Amino acid sequence: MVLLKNRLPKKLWKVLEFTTTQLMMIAVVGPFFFVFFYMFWNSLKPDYLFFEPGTWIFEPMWSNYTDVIENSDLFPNIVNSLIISGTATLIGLFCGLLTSYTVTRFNMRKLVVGILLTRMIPYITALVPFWIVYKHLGLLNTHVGIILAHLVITIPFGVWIMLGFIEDIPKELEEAAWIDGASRTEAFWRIVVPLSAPGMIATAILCFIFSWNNFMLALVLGGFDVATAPVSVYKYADPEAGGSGQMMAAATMVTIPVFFIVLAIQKQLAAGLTSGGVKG
Amino acid sequence: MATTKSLKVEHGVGRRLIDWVDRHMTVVFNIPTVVFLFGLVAFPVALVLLTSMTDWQLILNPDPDFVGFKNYITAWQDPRWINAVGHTFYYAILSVGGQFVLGMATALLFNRSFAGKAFYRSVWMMPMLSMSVAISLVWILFYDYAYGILNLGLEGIGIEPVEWTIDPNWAMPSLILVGIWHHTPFMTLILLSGLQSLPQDPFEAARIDGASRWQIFMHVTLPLMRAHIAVALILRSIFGVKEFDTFLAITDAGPMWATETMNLNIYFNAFEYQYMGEAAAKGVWFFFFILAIQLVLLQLRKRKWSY
Repeated sequence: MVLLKNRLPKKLWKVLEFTTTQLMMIAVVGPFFFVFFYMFWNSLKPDYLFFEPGTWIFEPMWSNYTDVIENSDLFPNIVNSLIISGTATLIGLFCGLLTSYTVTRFNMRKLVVGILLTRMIPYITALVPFWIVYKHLGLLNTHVGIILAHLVITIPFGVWIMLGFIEDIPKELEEAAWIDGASRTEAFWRIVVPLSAPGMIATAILCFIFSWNNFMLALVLGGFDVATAPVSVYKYADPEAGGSGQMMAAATMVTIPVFFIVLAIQKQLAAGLTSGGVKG
Repeated sequence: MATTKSLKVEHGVGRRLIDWVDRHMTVVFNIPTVVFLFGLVAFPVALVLLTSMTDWQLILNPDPDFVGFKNYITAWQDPRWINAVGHTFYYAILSVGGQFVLGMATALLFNRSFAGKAFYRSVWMMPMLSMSVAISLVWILFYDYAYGILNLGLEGIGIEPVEWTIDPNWAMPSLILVGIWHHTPFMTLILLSGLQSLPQDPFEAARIDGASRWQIFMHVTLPLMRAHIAVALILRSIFGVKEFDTFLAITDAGPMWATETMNLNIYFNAFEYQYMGEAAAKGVWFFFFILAIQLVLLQLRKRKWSY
């Protein structure tokens, strides 16, 4: 390689390096992305063509989407999911912001360990008692019940990701405000909160996505009246529920919105996903 | 000074409230987290331990009696549970292993600057953020015996089609492949952040000593990355043994319970057969397995590696 580099003209070498890198990245990322391409393209395919899996070119049609909206409870359940995950995310973010501030500034490692310990309890182990208590309190099949259960996802996650972002805010800024006569609470509100806004957005989006994707909690604790989007999507795993085209349309409807969010703020998301994990 | 003035609430109830919060900040700020989280976790823990010591079955035996640790022992007389434990480790070890190898390779690829890196990285992150139930539907079509594109591809290169999710021997590898597809990006992200935080001196020293790329990777990169590798393996294997959505959607624990894991076994026991006492005891066992995995992998972080 080195020999080749020295012999070729500089420009040609650059072009060569560019194309090989791009081809390599496409070879790596492409197969992973293919699943999404397949999902979207086949959601536009008429059902009879699923018996000819080799056919890739056809006239796209949107009727699978209208069929899903008309024939299944996916649309109302997407609304349920927005309410449930939205509320759980806001509460998780609020708890995460306050706790991660005290943890980083007062060095409360034990609290973090405690929070991480709660994450180790598998959902299925917690679901047995949750179900029993919910049955007695009448919380099964209600929004409040599922939101409370989703807090088990969003609060530890909120604390865990916010930790990394809060830690990166220099203490000196707060100290300057104290010297100017601000109290600790005021300095937190006027300095730490605005500065952590980008971190809060990333945390909120990650909490929301993980709560949005969660299937098990609503499967057990939800029911006919209140279920979430994954529960509706799961019904299409049964081949008798609808055609393959509708399967792909339902899957696309819950996946594509997440994509645009990821593309919009991928840098903060990557930071959020890794910082807490390694520092915590 | 105008800005600092606006920071101040000089007197009144507001002032006293702020001062009070200031003095008790570590308590006040943690009330929401502690009340919600420990409230939502403490009662299930107490109740699951209590339930696990009864012979409660919702319909067949609605008035439970205290039976002590009987359920913890009888769980191990259930061949389906023993198989489920085996399946769980089979799945976790192979899927996390595959994710680690691929994750490390891609992290090394992403650890250079090239045109379009941000775009490739965001596309790369998409599997881990997509809904597992939704992508399971795609894999169901991929694995279809007669009309799936995997068998189409195999036929194209002249190999016998495989009964992916129907054959008990192939069902688990099929799910492992989905797991690798779904979670490798998370591995990549953590390992990439590890690579980016490494000091440069040891690499230069190794290069001056004339070490090959492979030697540098094995004897410099890997030992320096042990904290990140431990974190990545701990997180992924804990999530791996808890994998549920793809199993229920793609194989529904079948064929012939060949893909039933601990998680699914407890789910069926509790919410289909309604053996609450037995399910609770198995749930506690499941927790201990996760605790054990974490403790074992934590050793990886502490151990001193020589290089």
